[in-house]
Amino acid sequence: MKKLLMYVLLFCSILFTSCNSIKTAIFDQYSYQQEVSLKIETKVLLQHAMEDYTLYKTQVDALLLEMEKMEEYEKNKPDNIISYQMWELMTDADKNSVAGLLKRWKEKGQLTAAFNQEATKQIMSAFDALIKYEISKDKEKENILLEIIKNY
Amino acid sequence: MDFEEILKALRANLLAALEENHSAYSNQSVNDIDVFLQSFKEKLKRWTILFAEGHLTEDDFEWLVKSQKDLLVLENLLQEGVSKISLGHLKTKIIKIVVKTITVAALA
Repeated sequence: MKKLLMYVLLFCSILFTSCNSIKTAIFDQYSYQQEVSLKIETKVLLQHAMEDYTLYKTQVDALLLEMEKMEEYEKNKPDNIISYQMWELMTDADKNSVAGLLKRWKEKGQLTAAFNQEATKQIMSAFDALIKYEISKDKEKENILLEIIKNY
Repeated sequence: MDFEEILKALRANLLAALEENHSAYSNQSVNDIDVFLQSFKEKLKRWTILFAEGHLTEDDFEWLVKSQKDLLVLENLLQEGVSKISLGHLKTKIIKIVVKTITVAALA
């Protein structure tokens, strides 16, 4: 019984040490779902960017609000600086990412087909980087557990 | 229009700009330029053709090049812990050189 207790304590201490040394937030199902959802919402909305901005202002504002909420959500998660920095870039209207493209649509009134097609590809790649990073957190967790099991 | 020649000229212009700013640029700086150019060689070719054909304005072209810089920042954040390129070099001047070199060459 004592031996079993010792193993349990050892396992917990290894797990605690491993998690602390990585200092990366664990995979968050909510973040992942929101990122995928916002990627598709952005893609659908940008399909209309060759049309007059004013027709889609409400949808653009709603999308930006959802993105700001996500930025705030990621900001307040512990050990989550990378995800937060990624969101910060994507929601900054002065950068050339999601909010920046929506700002350009607003300023120009409408975007040309060729530009919109190329810019949308860039934006989708930005979302992919964000989603891949969230998934990698789960992979890290899996690797930590595998390492612990291997060394046990 | 020979895109490979344009790319060679662009690389030379970027390295010349580096040399202008620093008496001796490091291998890291050269590497950063190459990583940046390689990261979007195919896209740059496509954007150059679209610009030459009049489907993109110079302003559109510049926006896309800047978006590539921001995408590279995101991808570097994604590869947390992996060697990162020093993005300090990829500031306004570099973007302007890319846009100027390509737009002049594409319209030549």
